Amino acid sequence: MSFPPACVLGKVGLKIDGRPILEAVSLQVGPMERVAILGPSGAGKTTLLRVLGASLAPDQGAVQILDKNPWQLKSHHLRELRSQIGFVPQDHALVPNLRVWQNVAAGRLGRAGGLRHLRRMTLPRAQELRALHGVLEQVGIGDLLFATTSTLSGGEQQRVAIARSLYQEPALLLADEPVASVDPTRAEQVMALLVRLADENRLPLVVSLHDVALAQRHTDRVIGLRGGRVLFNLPSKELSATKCEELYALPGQEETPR
Amino acid sequence: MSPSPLDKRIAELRRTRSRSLGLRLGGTIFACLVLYAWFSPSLELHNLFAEDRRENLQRFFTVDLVPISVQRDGSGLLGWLAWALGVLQDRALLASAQTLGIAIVAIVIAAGAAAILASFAAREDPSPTGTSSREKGNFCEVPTENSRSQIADAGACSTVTSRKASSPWLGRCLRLGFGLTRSLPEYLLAFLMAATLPHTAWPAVLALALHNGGILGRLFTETLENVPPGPGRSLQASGAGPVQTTVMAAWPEAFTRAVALTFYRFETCVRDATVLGMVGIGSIGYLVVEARARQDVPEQFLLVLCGASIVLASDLLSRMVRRRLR
Amino acid sequence: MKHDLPPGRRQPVRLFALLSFALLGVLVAGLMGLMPGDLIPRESGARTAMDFFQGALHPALQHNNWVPPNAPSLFEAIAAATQRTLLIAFAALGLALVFALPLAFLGAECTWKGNTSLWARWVPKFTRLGIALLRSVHEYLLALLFLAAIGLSPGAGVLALALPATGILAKVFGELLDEAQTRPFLALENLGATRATALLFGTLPRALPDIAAYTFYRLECALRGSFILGFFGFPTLGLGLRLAFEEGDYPTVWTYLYALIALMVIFELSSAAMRRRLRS
Repeated sequence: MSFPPACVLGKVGLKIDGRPILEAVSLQVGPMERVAILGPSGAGKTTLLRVLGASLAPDQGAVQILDKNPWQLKSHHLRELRSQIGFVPQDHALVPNLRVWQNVAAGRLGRAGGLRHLRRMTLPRAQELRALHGVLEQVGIGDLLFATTSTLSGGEQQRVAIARSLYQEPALLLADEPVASVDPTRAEQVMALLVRLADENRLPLVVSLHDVALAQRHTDRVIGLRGGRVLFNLPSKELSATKCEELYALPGQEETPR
Repeated sequence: MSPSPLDKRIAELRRTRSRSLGLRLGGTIFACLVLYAWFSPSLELHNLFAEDRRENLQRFFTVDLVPISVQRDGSGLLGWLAWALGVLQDRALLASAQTLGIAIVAIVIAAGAAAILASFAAREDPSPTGTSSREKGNFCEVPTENSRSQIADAGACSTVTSRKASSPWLGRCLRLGFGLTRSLPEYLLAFLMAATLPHTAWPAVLALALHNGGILGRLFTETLENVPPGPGRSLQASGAGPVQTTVMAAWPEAFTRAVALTFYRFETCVRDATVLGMVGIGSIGYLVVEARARQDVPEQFLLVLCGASIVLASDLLSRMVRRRLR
Repeated sequence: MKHDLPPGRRQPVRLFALLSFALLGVLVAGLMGLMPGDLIPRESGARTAMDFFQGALHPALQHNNWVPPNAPSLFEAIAAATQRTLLIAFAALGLALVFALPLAFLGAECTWKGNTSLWARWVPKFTRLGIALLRSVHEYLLALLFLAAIGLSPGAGVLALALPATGILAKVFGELLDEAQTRPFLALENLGATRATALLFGTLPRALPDIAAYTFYRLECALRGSFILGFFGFPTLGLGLRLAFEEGDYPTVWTYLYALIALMVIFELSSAAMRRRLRS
């Protein structure tokens, strides 16, 4: 049985304040594929992830996410699509003075619910608490269920953000710079966690990263992004050192032969 | 069905979570008192719109609000207009001007006194992190649009402040004084002063100036304390005293914000000045009380509208000035 | 903006501003006939003041003038008035709170940002106008109007305190909502929540401690207002104070004043404690 690809971008272009951020980006993410987006700062990685997360509409090109074009959907269908995409933002975007379980439960606010959300966020049923505890256990912090979010360490907060995405029961998991500010050992742990979660929940995973070696160890495919253009799109094992040099070269050094 | 071990674990986690008893208690008391006030018989709030009250309201809008002159000759809208213009020309405009005057004199006195006293009250290193009033939880009607910049300022001087208070005791007394003067209702102050002073607008001006001087004094003190210490240090190194340092180094930096705060309070001052006349001084409030004694409801209404319009106008002015300052 | 001019050039502008500010005060005072000489109490006034302050030393412990034989004692009367003062303040603030929160959302920028519909253009404008109108009439003026319209009942006092309080709360709440972080709000929108849901669970919780703290501060103001309502005949502490003052019964005035001061101190302490907890 073959699944359709999770995301397809065809020649996507995007300008913000007249400055091109993405230019003719084409890529495909297969079902259950793990993809890393590599590139120097300002290459457009976050923007690309937001396009994949159906939160930013491109100016040109075709977008197909989970078999739908988000920008042709009616608003409630767009919300439905978004509720199937788990996005772990770089700054976690948690509400610091809510409890951990509330921040995780917010993952399901994208579903239809109206006033029922109010009950879910204030008086959770035992069965909901079990589910919340369950996802927190999956990311390894089940005991922090009732802690106040602001008292958590940065790493724990990131896990809460991941748990919130998992609680969405998504069909696609995106993570923006999940290892941007942690030491190498932690980075390894976080990547292993994300990959494990993607495996357990049978999700395609797209991660933006700086570290080439980390990407090669944990993902199936790497996409190099530079100046808003795709520089390479290769299986991780085929990535050569030359390509990396080219990706991270400082401006003006591009042509320097090695 | 007995609860599963997982449920027990969750219940245990919930039981042992950190929580603030004080907050819960305060919130509960607040909610209980509000509910009690509305649903207990002590205030009779349930019959606020009972039959006789509704009759009162109906009479108010259909009969009471129509000026007698209009009632007599039934002269419709034109009659209303003529009547309103007459009242305005006769006394309401003058009273509005007086109200504004009271507010202006009061804010000048309050800001002047607060600026001088705050220079003495500003502390060296107010707290390890340099908190702003919002962070301390004291609102005191600080305009929130400014608080962002204040918090940013506070962050900038978080480690060292080199200004020294002139004397710790003087500063402490002044700060206590600021707190005391603002906690008494200004209307009460005006009422008490009106009984002793000659018959001028001074009681209203003084009461307003005292109340707002207290508030501005504290706000100015905080603003001065939150100024980054850079220039002050070099001044102190060249031998300037603490108050001299505040005046020469901290005030120039704090000036813009102090002006914004003053204009913010000015708006409130105008609002309070409209009623202070009720203690027997010529302002809108005095005319309202007088009209009430004559049972002239339409004039009362017109005067209240007059008061509202000068408050709105000063609100607009204050907002414009503060926007330009930002 | 602070640093666009070198300090040397800014100084004269400031000096000019300060001088004209002071001059304005003197000018207006002169126009209004406010002379410094009038600050000296009249002779009778001085005597009144003396009597008044002597009352501070021995506040009345029982009724000083004739009361009907089965009337409540002074303390019972003060206790009852205190209770009514408190209840009117709480009832007014509760009412204000119920209306202020929705108004704050309707008037806040964050509610409508990025929405280009006609609603988004006009609803916040009209809401803000309404809020300004609510704020513009002073509560005591309203109290007098309501006395005429509804009659002397605590309900009229509650309404008079509640209307301006609604305006002020709504204005400040709106500013607090606009100031709260937008990241959680955006994150919730990105996971498919409607704008209303995202505001309710992404923006509001962050602003809630500040909103609660400001409400407590406003409660103090409502209490002061409720006290003063007595001056216009509402059955709160101010009524007893005014009646005693008019009879020249200063010891009783002081009893009422002490009751007010005690109430304010208790209130300010507990509200300060609450606000401190809300920050932590």
